[in-house]
Amino acid sequence: CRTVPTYTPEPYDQRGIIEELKISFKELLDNYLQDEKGVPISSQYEMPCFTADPRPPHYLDSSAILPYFRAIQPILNNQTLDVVIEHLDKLEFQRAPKTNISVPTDQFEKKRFILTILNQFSNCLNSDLQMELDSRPLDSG
Amino acid sequence: GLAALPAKPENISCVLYYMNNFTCTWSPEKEDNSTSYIVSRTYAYGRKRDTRSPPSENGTSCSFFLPNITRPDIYTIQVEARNADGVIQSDITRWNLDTVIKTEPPKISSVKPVSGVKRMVQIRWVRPVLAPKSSNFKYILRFRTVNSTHWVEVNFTEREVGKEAAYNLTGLQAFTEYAVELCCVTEESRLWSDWSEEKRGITEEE
Amino acid sequence: VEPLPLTPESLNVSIDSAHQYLNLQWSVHSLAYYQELKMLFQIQISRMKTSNVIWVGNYSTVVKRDPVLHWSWKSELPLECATHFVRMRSRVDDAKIPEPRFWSNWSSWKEADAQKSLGRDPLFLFPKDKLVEEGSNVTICYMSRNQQDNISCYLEGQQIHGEQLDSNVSAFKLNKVSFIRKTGTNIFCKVDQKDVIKGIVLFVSKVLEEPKDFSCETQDFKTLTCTWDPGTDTSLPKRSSQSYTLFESFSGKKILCEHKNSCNWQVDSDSQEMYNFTLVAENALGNRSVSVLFSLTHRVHPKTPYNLFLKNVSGTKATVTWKVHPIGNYSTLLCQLDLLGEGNVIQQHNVSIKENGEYLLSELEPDTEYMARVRCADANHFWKWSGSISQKFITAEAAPSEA
Repeated sequence: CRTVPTYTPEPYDQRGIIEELKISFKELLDNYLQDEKGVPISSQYEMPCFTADPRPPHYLDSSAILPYFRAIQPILNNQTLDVVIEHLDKLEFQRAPKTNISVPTDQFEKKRFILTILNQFSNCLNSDLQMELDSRPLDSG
Repeated sequence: GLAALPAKPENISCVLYYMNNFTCTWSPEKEDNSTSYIVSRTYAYGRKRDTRSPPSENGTSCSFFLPNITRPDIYTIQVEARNADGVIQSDITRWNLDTVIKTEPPKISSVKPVSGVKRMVQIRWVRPVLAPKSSNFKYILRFRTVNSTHWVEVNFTEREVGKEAAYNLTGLQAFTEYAVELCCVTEESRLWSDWSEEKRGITEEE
Repeated sequence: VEPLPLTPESLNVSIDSAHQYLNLQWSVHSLAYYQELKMLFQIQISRMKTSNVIWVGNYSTVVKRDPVLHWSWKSELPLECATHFVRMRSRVDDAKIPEPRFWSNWSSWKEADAQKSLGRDPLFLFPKDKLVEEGSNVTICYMSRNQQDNISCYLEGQQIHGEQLDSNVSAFKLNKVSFIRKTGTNIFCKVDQKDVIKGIVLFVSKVLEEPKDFSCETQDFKTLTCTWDPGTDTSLPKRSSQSYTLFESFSGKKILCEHKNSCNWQVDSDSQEMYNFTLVAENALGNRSVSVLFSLTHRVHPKTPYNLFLKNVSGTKATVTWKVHPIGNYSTLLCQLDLLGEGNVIQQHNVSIKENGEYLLSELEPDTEYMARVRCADANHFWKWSGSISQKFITAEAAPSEA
């Protein structure tokens, strides 16, 4: 079976992935906030946002984000989260070495960790990334 | 006897039934029960790979399921046929998911005249639920008077993202009952939905 | 004569925080004269300071020579939130010893301080990740290192107010806690004006119900299938699973059931006739059980008959044949044959068979569509009808002589 090249999604496709990612992630966050009441966010956990390749066409890279989502995947066991991770996988520009994120073992802290990660990613999707995408040409790939 | 390799799988055709499954079919039709198939897929723009062995009763069809199907994406599909005498592989085929999306047909909610506007009906419909929220849709609307068999088609694109949409069909005969059907396709796909159920409405009297 | 009263000696108190138990161990000076003596021990438990006695109780037991005695006390307050003190005294309570019988001196206070093992965090909240049943009462408490800190606490986001036990300790009594979600109820406290938050998850499980409609039956005298209605699912992911075990008292055997509402039991060849089954539902908090006593031959639920055919169909007659799955060597099945016309039962016949059934239907109307339908049950002890099998047929047109 001949090896198949790995494509990096063109900016136009990256925009499409981000749009679909936003839809799935909104559903994930809304459901989690609906399910878990009374869990405050924590300032102890910091998750990076997308990074952009400095060289045009500035491919987005999710490799710093993915380890966090992979860490909470077995805890939430949720198909919407699986879809979010599928989208993030497509934006993994450079195969970063496997980073293991340790999740708090304390049950309440574990929920705070998850909520904080989801909240930070929401900010990442809606503010930082949007500015990045808006600053790019709309040409189709 | 003479070794008889299975026929090389060809004419691979794939469809993304949105939020449902990604299904590929190929030819030739399954020769006999001794031939089995393995379908290899790469996805996430080539970053991931998996295989499926369709149950024999599926013949020459194979489906991949959620959650490992998200658009946009570029897949490659290769079909391997195997029997007692050996193995043969198809060419690697490449699929941009957005070009093979097939949605359910839209649901026409009403075909009604607009009060005071002659020779016109307004068709209202609901977009397919299982469809990319961020995609625009192209539509074909076909209509005929109920006692005719001749359909007339109208094409248009609809950029509204809301659940329900509408189209005003003008230039009709007064006080006449019309049958209307609708089908749609996402802007980048080449696979149209099936026709919607027929809906009828009558234009106002002259 | 016995040197009375016998003062409790070497009292030792250990802490089981997870279950909120104080475990006491002590001894009494070895009996010189009697083999054994019935004694009464009075126990006092104080909280925060010795003068603050919160519980007094008696423990009666028979003391033997050189005994080591044990007793446990369950605290409703998590033990980490307060230092507890225990002392006890004793009195002989045995007819062998005439009145009056005097109390011994109190033992010295023994301290149980669970806070020693806590870290240096500024704030603690207990109990950590406790599992309780819906409807029970739970006391949670916080302990703050800094007495000036202003602490506020929230249950599912709603502020709650507690009882101050000490300048830096407060307790909150939650009565009849209810199930909110499988991932637990969220409770946290925070130091106001500081980014210090401590939270716990209280895992509340639904009440385990006694299985309903528990019954067993066999289709072949080889396997007994027991079914029941499990009621509410009380399982909590990674916390408490719900399992079902089937005991049979005559054979002494038991099996863990694979499903939550059914279980298959292999009937031994020695064809045990009577069965006394006990089904035990169990989760991390307890168990409920239900029993049923029956005779195997009274619980036969035959399989659906098969190969239902119509032959020799004339204008007014038709022969119905069918087969049944044999059940054991001596079982006879009573089969009910219905003849339906236009959906209504117009004839009904009972036929006793072992394996092959046959019946001649007569008085039929020519050129008419009918349906033959068969079901069977155990002829000796009715339990349940089998499933039905049916077959449509049309009688022949009337022959000239019959017209």
